Amino acid sequence: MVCSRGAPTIAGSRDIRHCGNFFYVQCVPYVQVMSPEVVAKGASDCLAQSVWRIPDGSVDPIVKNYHWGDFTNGFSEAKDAGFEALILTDTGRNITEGPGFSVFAFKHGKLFTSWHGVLSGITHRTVLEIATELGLQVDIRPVPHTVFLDADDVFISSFAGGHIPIVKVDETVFV
Amino acid sequence: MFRLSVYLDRFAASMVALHLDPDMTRAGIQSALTQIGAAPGLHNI
Repeated sequence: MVCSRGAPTIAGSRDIRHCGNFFYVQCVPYVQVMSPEVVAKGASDCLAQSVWRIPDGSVDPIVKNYHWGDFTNGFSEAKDAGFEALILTDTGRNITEGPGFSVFAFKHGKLFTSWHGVLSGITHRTVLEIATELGLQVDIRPVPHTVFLDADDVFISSFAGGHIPIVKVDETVFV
Repeated sequence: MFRLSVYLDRFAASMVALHLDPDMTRAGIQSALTQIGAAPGLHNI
C-alpha cells in the first residue's frame, strides 16, 4: 500500500496542503531481495564508502519512503567492487540498513541491531521477538562498524520477509 | 495477511508524520487490502 502526495489542485502551487493525496494498493507475488542462489549460499555485502545513510533529520526511515538515492549510489559501489549487496552506515560509521533489508549481528549469545537510520520494520520486529523467545539477549543500539565486523555471525532480514545469511562483509569472512 | 494490524498502525503513523491524508478510514484501507488480496484467490489466515 502506498499513499502518494498527488498533484497540486492549484496549478503551480508548492503548498503541499493543496495536493490531493492518493491511496494505492497492489498485490504482487513475493519478491526476495536477492536471488535464490545467493539466499542459499549467503550474501557478500560491502559497507559503502562513498555514501552514508541519509540522516534521520532529513529523511526519517522510520517512515517507509521512496528516498533511495543513498542506496542507489551505494549499490553501484557494491556491484563495481564485486559484492552482491551493500550496507549503509551513518556518518559516524554505525551500521544502519541495506536496500530492502534490516541488519543484525550476533556475538556471545547477544543479537545486536541498530535503532536509528533504519525502517521500523515489521520483519525486523519479528526477528527480535523470535530471538527473545529463544532466550537470546537483544541489544538495540547504535552498532559501530567495528563491532559489526567483529561479530560471530551476521545476517539480514528482508522487508518483504525472510532472512538471509551474510558470509562476507568487505574483507571479513563469516563462517 | 502477516501482522496486518501492525502494518496498518505504521502506515497511519507514517501518513501523519508526512502530512498525508488520502481521506480513507482504517477500515476502508483494510477492506481495500483484503479485497485486492482476495482477487487472485489468496485468503487471510
